[in-house]
Amino acid sequence: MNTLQEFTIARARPLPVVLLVDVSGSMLEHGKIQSLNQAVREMFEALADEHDLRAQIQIAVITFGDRRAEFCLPLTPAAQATWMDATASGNTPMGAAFELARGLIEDRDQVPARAYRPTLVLVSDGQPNDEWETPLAALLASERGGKAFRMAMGIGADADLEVLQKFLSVPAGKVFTAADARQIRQFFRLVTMTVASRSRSADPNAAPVAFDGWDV
Amino acid sequence: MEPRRPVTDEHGAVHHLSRRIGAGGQGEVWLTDGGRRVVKLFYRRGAAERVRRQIAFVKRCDLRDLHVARPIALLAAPAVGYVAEFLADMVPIRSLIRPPSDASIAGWYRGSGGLRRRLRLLAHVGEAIAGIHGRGLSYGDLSHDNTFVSAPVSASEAWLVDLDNLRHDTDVHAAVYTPGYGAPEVVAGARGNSSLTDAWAFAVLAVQVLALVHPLCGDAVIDGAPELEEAAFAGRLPWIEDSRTDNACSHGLPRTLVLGRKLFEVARATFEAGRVDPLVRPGVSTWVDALHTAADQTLRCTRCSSTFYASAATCPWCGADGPALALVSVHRWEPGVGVVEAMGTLAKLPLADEPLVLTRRVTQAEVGVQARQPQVTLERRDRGILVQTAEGASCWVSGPGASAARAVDDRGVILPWSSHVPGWLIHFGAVDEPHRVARIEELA
Repeated sequence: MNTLQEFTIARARPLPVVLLVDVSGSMLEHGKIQSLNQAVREMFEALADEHDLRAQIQIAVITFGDRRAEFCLPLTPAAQATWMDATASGNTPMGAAFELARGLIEDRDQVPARAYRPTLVLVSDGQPNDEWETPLAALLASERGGKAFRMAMGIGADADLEVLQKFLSVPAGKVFTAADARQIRQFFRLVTMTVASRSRSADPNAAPVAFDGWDV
Repeated sequence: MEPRRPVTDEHGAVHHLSRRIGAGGQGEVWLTDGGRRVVKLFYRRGAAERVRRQIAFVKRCDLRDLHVARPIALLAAPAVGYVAEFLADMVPIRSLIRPPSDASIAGWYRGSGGLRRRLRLLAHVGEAIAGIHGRGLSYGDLSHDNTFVSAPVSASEAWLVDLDNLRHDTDVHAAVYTPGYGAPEVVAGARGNSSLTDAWAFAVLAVQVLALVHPLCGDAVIDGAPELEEAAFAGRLPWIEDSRTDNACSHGLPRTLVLGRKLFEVARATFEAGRVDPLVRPGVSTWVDALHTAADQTLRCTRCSSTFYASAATCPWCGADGPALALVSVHRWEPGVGVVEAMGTLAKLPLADEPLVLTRRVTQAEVGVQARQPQVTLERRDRGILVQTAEGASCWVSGPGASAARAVDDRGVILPWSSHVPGWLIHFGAVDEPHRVARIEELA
């Protein structure tokens, strides 16, 4: 057959999204872990649907519970990522999660210099049981960690909002609180929108979009 | 995204949202069942009054004959948004800028219509914007997200959605732009939206669709930190083909292959002098003329079927020899004078193996959507050139020796090849009034 000349196009720039998700035993109560699984699954589907011209959204999920933090999903392009329901048990080693997050975003092989600023999302329903202050300070002091967009949600009445606020470490930063499945879902929709909107039309004089919620 | 519940507009009509086709900083655009309407939903309920005023304003602007999503009705409270016109079977122009990851770039480019289709589509996008400018308005937020094109490759309609930012005036406090498309003065916060900032955004879109690269992102920017991309988008770096400074880009299609000389000059004027001085930027109508002319002067390769500029002797895609050509040149004709040579050639089109459709843009110097109507089709045959009129149209031919012009009926007429006497003229208007004519000559 005829051979056409070959050309290249520029690779998309990675846009890493790292979820730090509390899967401690208390998440079993009131269906919290089920609501979380459902909301995260929807977020994965929505982000997989994003066809940005220049950014390639990549997702990593760190779960913390049961005396350890681990990657239940390594950094993966959203188009290829599928969410496997997380199970809950044990305590809340949030500090270990901060360590893993820092290790990931500071790794130049996984997150190259050309990547967009990462988004870090912390979700918890209780207090950390491990040494968390030092790992958090290290995360916030790291080059990428300090520049990352950070969002946080406390689920239920026992969530430690102070820790979450420290994670945001921006005075104007708002910790979201969720009391039910609908609010958990709304938070993850907001995360999706925030990630997806980074390449959208900008009104430089407007405040960032606050999601009023649909009434359609 | 999951389908949403139906929405009701101010007239009580119910619209079923089927697919989200766009999302911006302020809201989302959804296709409705049936596909001929779109619904824009705003995120913030507090925007209701502003949206109501903007839609009332846009409805007062006469935008008929322009391929833009004209608002039809506001949504009923508590939803904030409106219903607008659309065309069925459209996809975002973004689909012409980035191929699927595993595709051969050249093969995908050709399969999605190639150079000629992209030139024509961009000209049609430009006509919508130029039409808006001609009414003293600016569009505001042009990008690959609110420009839609025909899904079938055989069609080349273009449609703009999102008239939220249409305005008569310019207001630096109400400036909007999509990253990558903002004119430098808007990104810097020095100026509001205007026809000049639209012209910048259009130029960015045109280069991306034709060459598959952003005109400001050289290799160093693509491989560098995102802050460098921000600086590039803000117009602080030279463009990738700058004559004086290097910001070269090794990706995409060669600019000489896809832009041609005239379009290259229009791009240069926009991204070099026009980067710092908005007033010297070519207007969108300049782009429209250059894009249409460029599309007119493309050929299809007989071996690989890709389209390329007639000025190339061989197909730049596969190297095959170019086809045998005849030149169709369009001139002005006046009764008592004949061809007005002093006005020169008004249009030049190559005639190769494919039928050549001459539209009213070429034959009547019309502009806009109405000018897309075909008037005459020319086709090479062994004996000569077959001239046929489109349905409802007329044309006349006058032969060598200046015999009276005779009307061409729907069977058409064949103009025999002739190399020794002045050739035939095809008249696009009656001989007792000034009109345009076409001459055809075989090229060596």
